[in-house]
Amino acid sequence: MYQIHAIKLIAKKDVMRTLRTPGVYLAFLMSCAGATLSAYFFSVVSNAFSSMGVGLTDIYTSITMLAILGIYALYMAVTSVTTIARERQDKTLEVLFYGPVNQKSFILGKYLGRMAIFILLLLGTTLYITAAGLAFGLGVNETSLKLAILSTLLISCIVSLGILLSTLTSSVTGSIFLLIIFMIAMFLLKVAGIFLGIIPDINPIITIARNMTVTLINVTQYVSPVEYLSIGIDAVNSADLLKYAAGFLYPAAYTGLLLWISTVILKKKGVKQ
Amino acid sequence: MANVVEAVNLSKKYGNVYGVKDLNFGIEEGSIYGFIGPNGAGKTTTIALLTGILEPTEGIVLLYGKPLKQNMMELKKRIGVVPDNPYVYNHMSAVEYLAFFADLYDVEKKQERIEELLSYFNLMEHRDKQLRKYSKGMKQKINIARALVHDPDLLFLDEPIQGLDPTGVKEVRDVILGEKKKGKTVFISSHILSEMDKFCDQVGIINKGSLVMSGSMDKLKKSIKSGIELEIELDKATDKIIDSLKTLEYVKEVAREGNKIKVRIEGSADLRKEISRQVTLAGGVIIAMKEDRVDLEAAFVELTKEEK
Repeated sequence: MYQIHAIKLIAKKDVMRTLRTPGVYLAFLMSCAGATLSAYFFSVVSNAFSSMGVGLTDIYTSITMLAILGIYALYMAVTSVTTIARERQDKTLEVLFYGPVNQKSFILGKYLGRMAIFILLLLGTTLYITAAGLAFGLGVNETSLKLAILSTLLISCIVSLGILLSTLTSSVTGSIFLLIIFMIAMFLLKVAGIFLGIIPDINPIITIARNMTVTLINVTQYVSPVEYLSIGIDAVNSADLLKYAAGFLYPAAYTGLLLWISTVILKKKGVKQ
Repeated sequence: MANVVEAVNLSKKYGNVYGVKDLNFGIEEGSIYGFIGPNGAGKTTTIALLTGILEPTEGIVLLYGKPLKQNMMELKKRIGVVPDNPYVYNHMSAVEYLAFFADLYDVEKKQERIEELLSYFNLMEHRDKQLRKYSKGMKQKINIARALVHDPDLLFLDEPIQGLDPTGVKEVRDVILGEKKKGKTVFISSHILSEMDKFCDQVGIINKGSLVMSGSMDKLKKSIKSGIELEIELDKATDKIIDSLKTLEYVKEVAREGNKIKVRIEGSADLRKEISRQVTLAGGVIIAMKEDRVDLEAAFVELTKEEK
């Protein structure tokens, strides 16, 4: 009972803090500008799409939503990775833990606070995309709703990963540095996979390197939150109910596991600098 | 009276180094316990252990007779902590900050309590100002108000007067005495012994992570060398003069260093005339006399130095 109370308060405090920073409005404005440009572009080229027999509304919604999701994913990653590190750096973490707060309620509060911000952004953006689509004569369908649900699952994974990285560091700079290293490592692995894939087997070293990279990619696909978007998109595209259920379960399990690890790390590391 | 805080064989190790080692002490209900020690002695670590922020490597903490570790949430609601620096949420106003913590502790009549504290600390006119715009002294006041918002039974203050102006020091002192009047227990750490002398019932002296002394303020005063030290230069320091000085009831210690005699006198009265007479009666000729007043502060420095 007391934990739920603390979780709600920590989440609310985080939401209020975020709403007082310019970053959230900047992210929203960029998304709206992107949606407007996208709607304008698709309205201009609508005749070409009609002649090809392609569903214009679907394409407009999907491309716009995915582009905006990119902005939000970056914003949520940065704000999540700094959220605990900032409290540790400012030593407000210590003050909070003098009160009736434990590691579990703190981590969950932080997670829910971040997710609440994303849902607010998502609601605003989905409405804006729909309004822009209608204004430019592109129509409305259920694609935006499906993508909104999928993006929530992706962001849940990103936020939990951000929180995990945040528990590992003691300063805002350190946490952003860790995020950048993580992103670069994931990117390099992908590039290495592609590069080794197109090189013919001219010597055994390349074969070994390729096998190692493939194994590493297979492992890291469970670590990178972006992979869970692919799983979700596959699930939406296929009519398979099991795949669809898995599309929800995987990100949920990923989120749960990372939040649990974050709690353990916070417990082990302590709250005092 | 029952002990509300009990440290039993409490130790905290950082790698191979002890932050605090084998602390054993108790704090009586309704008392003010002064925890004194030089910077880096382990005062903050001890508070962190007693408030559950740090987990001890060895030993246990009992609050109100219950092990802290097993009853963390329940006991945390009964304590208020003022850390060594005012760490606040800078984006919040004073009212929002206190309201957040009042909500966290589920305080009834939240608004009344917040207004009461803001009035007490003369912060009413700054109530809606963001805390980032507060001075350090104002932040320290809001920090103390935050620790008091849920009217805790046990208050921990870590160096609370550090960086405060004289008015601020008086306000903090009044808070501490006010809490005592309400029957609350206060644990206050400081390296300023003279300040602690004004209101502490019990004291603990910590140095290099170990408790040098724990007990009543009177016990502390008796155990340390306070008083006046006279350095008397004579033409010749004889045994007769020393024995003669030792017969005086207010003389606590006499030591010879060549032709000089060091006499430690209890209390603060000026007894130079009487001492001179005694020396002359014993056949001594005084060449020079120097007086050194050893206050509690200097005595404490001496005490902790001896432990090094």
